[in-house]
Amino acid sequence: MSAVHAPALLSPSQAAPHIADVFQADRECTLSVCEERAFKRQWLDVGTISLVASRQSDVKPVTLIRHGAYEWQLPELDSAVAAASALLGLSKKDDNRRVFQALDELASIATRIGCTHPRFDPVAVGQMPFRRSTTIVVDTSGVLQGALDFVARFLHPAARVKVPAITQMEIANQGDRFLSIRRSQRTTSSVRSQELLEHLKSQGGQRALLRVELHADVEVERTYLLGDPLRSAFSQDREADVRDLNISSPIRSYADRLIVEAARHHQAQSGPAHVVRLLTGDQGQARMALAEGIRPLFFTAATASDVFGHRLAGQTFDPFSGHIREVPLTDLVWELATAFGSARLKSDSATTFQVTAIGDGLSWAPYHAEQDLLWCSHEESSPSSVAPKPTPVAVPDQRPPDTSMRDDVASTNRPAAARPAFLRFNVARLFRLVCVLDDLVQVPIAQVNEIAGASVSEYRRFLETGGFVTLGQNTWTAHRATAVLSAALRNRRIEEIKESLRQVPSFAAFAVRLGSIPVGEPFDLTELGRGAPTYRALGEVTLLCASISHRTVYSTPNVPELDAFARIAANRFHMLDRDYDGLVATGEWLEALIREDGIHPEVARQQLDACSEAGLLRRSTEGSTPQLRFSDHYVHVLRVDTGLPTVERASLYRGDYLIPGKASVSLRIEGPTQ
Amino acid sequence: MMPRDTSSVSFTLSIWRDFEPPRLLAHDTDDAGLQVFDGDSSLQEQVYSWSVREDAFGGIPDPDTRRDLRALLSPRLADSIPPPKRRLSVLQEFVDASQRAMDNGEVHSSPSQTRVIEDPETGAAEPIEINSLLALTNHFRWIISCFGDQPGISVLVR
Repeated sequence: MSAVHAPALLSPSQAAPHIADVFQADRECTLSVCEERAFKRQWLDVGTISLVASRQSDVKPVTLIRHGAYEWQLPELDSAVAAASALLGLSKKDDNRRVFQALDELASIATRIGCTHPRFDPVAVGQMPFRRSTTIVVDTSGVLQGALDFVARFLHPAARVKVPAITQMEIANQGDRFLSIRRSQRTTSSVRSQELLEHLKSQGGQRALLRVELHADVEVERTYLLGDPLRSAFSQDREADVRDLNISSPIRSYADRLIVEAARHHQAQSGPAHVVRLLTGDQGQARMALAEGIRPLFFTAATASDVFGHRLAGQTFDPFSGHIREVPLTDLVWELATAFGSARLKSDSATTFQVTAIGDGLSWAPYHAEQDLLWCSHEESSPSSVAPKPTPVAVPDQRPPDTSMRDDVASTNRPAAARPAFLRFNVARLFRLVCVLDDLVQVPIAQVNEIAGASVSEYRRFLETGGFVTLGQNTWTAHRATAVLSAALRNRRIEEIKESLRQVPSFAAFAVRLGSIPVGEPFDLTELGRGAPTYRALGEVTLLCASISHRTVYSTPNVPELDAFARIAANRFHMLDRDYDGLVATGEWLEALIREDGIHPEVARQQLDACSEAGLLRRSTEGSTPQLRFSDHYVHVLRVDTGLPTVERASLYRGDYLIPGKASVSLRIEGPTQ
Repeated sequence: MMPRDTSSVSFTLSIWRDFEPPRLLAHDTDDAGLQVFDGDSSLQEQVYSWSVREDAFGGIPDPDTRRDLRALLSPRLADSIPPPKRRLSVLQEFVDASQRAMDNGEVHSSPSQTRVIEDPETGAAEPIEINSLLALTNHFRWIISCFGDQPGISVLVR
């Protein structure tokens, strides 16, 4: 069973979660394109897309898609030519030059989005990136073959882009040719090949111009048409007497001439020191420009053989800065859909996502271009038909050694004995899952998936190793330990929660490790690897530890009696009141108690209340503007909302954590000092 | 856990070409007096320089493969080697070798050293995974395609 969703207009950003659905079961899918008339609604495979993530990574597919963490393996050129020829109805005897040209256009698509680059003249590369303002006049090849996008991406803002009107007109003419073929009734293989080529060039070219105009952070200038001075050379001359001179022949490179004229015109208007360069991949145009005193910025377009059979990456190196650049997967899919008409991602489990730019019944309006909207539809297989891939429990970490600073710490602090795997999941979802398991005893896997999300295997491993559940074919069955934990969670009985969770080897190991650390000594969370955020939250809600920064926590084993707490609280306050104005930031006070006294903020909050009620301390707050710079200083705390446990972040530098209703930032404590 | 490979750090690749000064150049040395350079001197001019900010070999678990690939860059393209022996063909050897390693499944993704993403669930920032060797190999292919035909080009890695 599968569900098909009707086409809807979506932007690349809106489409990313739907594309992620395709990768939910498999991290690899097939990428196909379709020109509905040329291919007669059949699909041409143009490779596979695989997401880049280690097996241990919990990063969601949508994040990988947005950050360009994918690899695009293109098929071998021979097989692509054969497949495209077959779709176009060409036999082996037919001329397949247009098939090669069409596949060259696919290389141009990869160049336009930045997965690969045009081959520039070596002298030109030596001059990049430009150090002084340079005007780049673009010809049609520059637009179509990705050089304009390269300039906008890597050479802006030193490079100012000028798109001559004739360049726009050439691409508009290509669009006219494409539409006239599309409207014709002829469907021979030759016509279909021509239509494919005109579609690829015209729509791809128009998208490139619109991208630079509407989306890229680049300034585009306009030029005059500059046609008149040479127009007579293009007109038919009816002078009979001098026919031998053949001056009635039109100048074939008239459009090229006009582009050079546009560059000359701009050079004449600029100062003599201003550099004007003509961006072209056309040898004749480059030679003409050289002869006219205009320096060409010459490039050779990427061809099909440059990309087919190769693996391209959505993460590339900036050719000048060396930093990683990201090409979102949506950029690739949108570009293919515009150039071919439709593009599709399809997983092995038959979940598909299709993007269409042109077709019967699909409208177009300027806002589609402005917001980069295309028609999207997806077809998903039912959850029951897609069994989640089993995740091996004891898969060794195959990732290469992490060469960051973290391993230095880990290698010195890590105990020699084998340690349990520190898992990564959302603690609030775990608690919700425990309560649902307690309520239903047997929970269908689909419902578990709904609660746990993509990381269901991590929840399973945590609960299984603690003896909370067993897994059936289609259900999770709760054990008695689950009921105990659920009751403790619903009633915020922290000691019981702690004891229940100690049945899980990884949590027990974490608790033992925390217990072995003296008060005041930081514990580096990176020792826990990817599970660090999860165990930090678990440690904080069970009051075992509290954090001062993201990377370290302090053990918080102490729960002093009221009178002892009153003395500690007041002493700590007076030590921090360096200005003797009787005010200390709430977060500063709470963090001092964590660091110096091993007292958890939840304990401090509770004891401060109790001391106040008992008359041991007087507390008040002042100041009304929370200090946003400390917004990342928080601890995870357990709360109960309508009978269900939740995990909240308590901001230590907000006064309302200590005194509800007061968002003040400064605390005053008056009372006993030692 | 393998020991941390401290040699896997960023490096700089630069492209040089034979330089023929349009006029005589001179370098005033303390020991040998004025040293004059003309068109026959073995002068080199840097035309392109690029530093990689990621651990390009971080995704190769096998230390031997990692060492072999690194060796194709350094010392093969180190400044102790004369320019005529540091041609782009050596860089092409590296590209071919890294392609073979990727085809053989010897290369995995590894955490980026410069890009982090925030986990919306836990709020924690963690490095995004990248296949930096693939990105490096594709970039070297571009360099070779741009400079491959020009005479007198040499490559330097340090």
